[in-house]
Amino acid sequence: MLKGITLQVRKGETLVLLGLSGSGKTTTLKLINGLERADQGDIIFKGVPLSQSDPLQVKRQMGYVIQQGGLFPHYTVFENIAVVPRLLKWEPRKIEERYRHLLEKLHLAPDRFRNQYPAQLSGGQQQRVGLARALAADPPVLLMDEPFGALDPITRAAIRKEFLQLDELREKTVVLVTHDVQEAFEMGDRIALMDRGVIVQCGTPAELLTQPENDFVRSFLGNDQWLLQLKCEGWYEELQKALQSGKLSIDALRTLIHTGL
Amino acid sequence: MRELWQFYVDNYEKLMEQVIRHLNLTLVSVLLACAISIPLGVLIARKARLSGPVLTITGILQTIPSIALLGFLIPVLGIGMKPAIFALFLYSLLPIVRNVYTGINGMDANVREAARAMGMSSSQILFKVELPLALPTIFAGIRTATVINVGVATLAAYIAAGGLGEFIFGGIALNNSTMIIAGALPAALLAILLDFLLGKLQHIRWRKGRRRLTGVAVLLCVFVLLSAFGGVQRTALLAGFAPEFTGRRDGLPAMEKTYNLHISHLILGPALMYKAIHENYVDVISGYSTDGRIKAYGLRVLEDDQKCFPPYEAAWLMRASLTKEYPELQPLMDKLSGTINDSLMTYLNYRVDHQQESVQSVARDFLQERGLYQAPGKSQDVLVMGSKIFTEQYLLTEIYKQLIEGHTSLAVETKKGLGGTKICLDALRAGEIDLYPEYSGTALQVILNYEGDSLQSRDEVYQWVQQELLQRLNLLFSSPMGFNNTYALMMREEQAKALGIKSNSQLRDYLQTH
Repeated sequence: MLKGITLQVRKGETLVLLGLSGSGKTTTLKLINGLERADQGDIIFKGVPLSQSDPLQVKRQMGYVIQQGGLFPHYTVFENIAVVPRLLKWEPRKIEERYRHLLEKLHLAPDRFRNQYPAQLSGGQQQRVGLARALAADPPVLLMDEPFGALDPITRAAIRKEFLQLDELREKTVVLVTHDVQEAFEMGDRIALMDRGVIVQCGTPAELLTQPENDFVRSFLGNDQWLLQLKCEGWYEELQKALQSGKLSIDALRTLIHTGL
Repeated sequence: MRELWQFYVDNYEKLMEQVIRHLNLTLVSVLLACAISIPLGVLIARKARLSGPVLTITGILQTIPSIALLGFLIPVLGIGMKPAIFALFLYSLLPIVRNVYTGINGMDANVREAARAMGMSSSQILFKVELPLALPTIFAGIRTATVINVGVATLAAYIAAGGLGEFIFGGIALNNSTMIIAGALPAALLAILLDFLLGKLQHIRWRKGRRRLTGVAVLLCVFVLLSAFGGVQRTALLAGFAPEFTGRRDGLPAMEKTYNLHISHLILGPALMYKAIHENYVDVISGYSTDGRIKAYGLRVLEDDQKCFPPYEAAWLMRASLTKEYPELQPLMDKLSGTINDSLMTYLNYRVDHQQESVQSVARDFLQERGLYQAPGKSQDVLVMGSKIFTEQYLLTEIYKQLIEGHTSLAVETKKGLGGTKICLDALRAGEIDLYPEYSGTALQVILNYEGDSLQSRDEVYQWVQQELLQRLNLLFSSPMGFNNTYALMMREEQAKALGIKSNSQLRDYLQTH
């Protein structure tokens, strides 16, 4: 299904795989940690080809977050988060410390949620626990497949913002799959736009906007072009501030948009 | 109710023994089935290619009638606990395998993927994720299997494995409702209780009480296995008796009294008894004197030299009104009265049982030889004939069916396989059947509950029975067909010859000196 995928993810950067459903972005993500195997080619992680390393050890170094959370329904919040540290045979005290640290960071009260089961949590809480679980063993790499996909738009924006502010995330190498262009521009250092199993274009958000490879890229970004442009040039935040402080009125903004900025 | 209580008071020890045995049969077989089915279910959940064949095979096993399965098992596993447990084990496979398979397959795919992505090995995924999540479904399967097994385990009484079936089948054979309920009630309670306990077990916090639970499980297994294969003290020869024979006053009790003959015995189903003696699992059985298998399996019928077994002359039992509704019936049926003697009946049975001829063709030959066969003409009314579950009754119903259909305008519908005197009698009185072949001795003991001992000769018994049936139940007993199918002790010809045993008295003498 995938053809000629060549991707390099640099240490500490966030790469977004963007595309419609069926474009091959999830499959690409699964190739990275060995959930799927390629017929040809290889993945090189820390200088070692995946085909020559222990697949379980590789997976334990890559946190994985999926849409529905994929939390174990028969485990409590604490037990879910402790899965990988236990697999890596951490000391119980270290697991405990890590648990508290992560839950506080994610604005969940550690003692309150400790013995709750996933079914007792809201969607947003589940997603946060899912992220905490992926981060539990402090893996250098984080793979996220539509992590916000199951949430309503308001919760989604809020959690996204929260994620962006986490130091934990900033230091990590992240590969994120999404079909949401806004999300891609907000979170990605670089974006790989995929279509029918190939990478159409890979570059920074600005590159995609200003130097689109072809019509597909142009039309994919088309509808939101002006907003994206604001985002990638850092104007978006300023504009919001201006709107909130009253320096700019909504009507003035509308006029600006209609006259084509 | 009071009768039932009295029965339990009288048979307290027997009841406890049967309940424990019943529990053994059920638990051992379910434990064995779990040991095989859970790994098998996991295997087919992993390898989808195998799931079709495995589920089909276990499904087919499920459809084998229990009595037939026990029959198949006698040559391989003998009689007693082993074949019973094995048969129950086979019946437990399907519910457990299927539920393990469904439980694992029905799991949220996201959860399994998350487990893989976190770097759990496949055995970690199995034990930490798949099995715990499939547990409710798996438990449901085990509970189904357990409840089914409590029911099927009653049939274990037919191959000397004991259990509550002894009361139930004894009761059916003896037309004793109290005895049937005495067995059926604890069986039902056992099913409910086991289901309830398994339900409790499922909700125990596994991780906390794991060690204690393992201890309990090990103890349970040891108890069950020990009590299952305990030894039995026995006489030099071992007998296999049908439940009917051991319970009826004119059976085993009469034999013990008249001959002072005491022999260790197992309870065997009448259909399985001959196979068991043929395969050397028992040395003496309580057969019937006209059974075709006597000839087929080379058995010697021991002479009843002190006449303890009462006469069992075969005749038709029917509603009294039947001969008024169809006046042509009685003269026609009387044409065969007194014409079928013991050796002829044995021979007819032998042709069906051993030579595998069809009941229809043997019946037709029989009528043709006597010039009584006519092709059936157009029919108006339907006569319903019942029969118990054995060849002789099948043959008699078929012979008379062909006779009646050839000579009258009646069509005959046969309801074969009514499982005992009680069932036949109830069907007759409820109008489900119009007539069925019965034996004078059975009518005397089981239907009329005769308690005296003044009736001795064939004629005396027949006269009394005919008179009482008409008076008490308004049933007509036709004139005897000629043969006397009574109880008889039988041994394998070569063994009987080697030990020099020809009669019941000689059997007693042998047992007393060995």
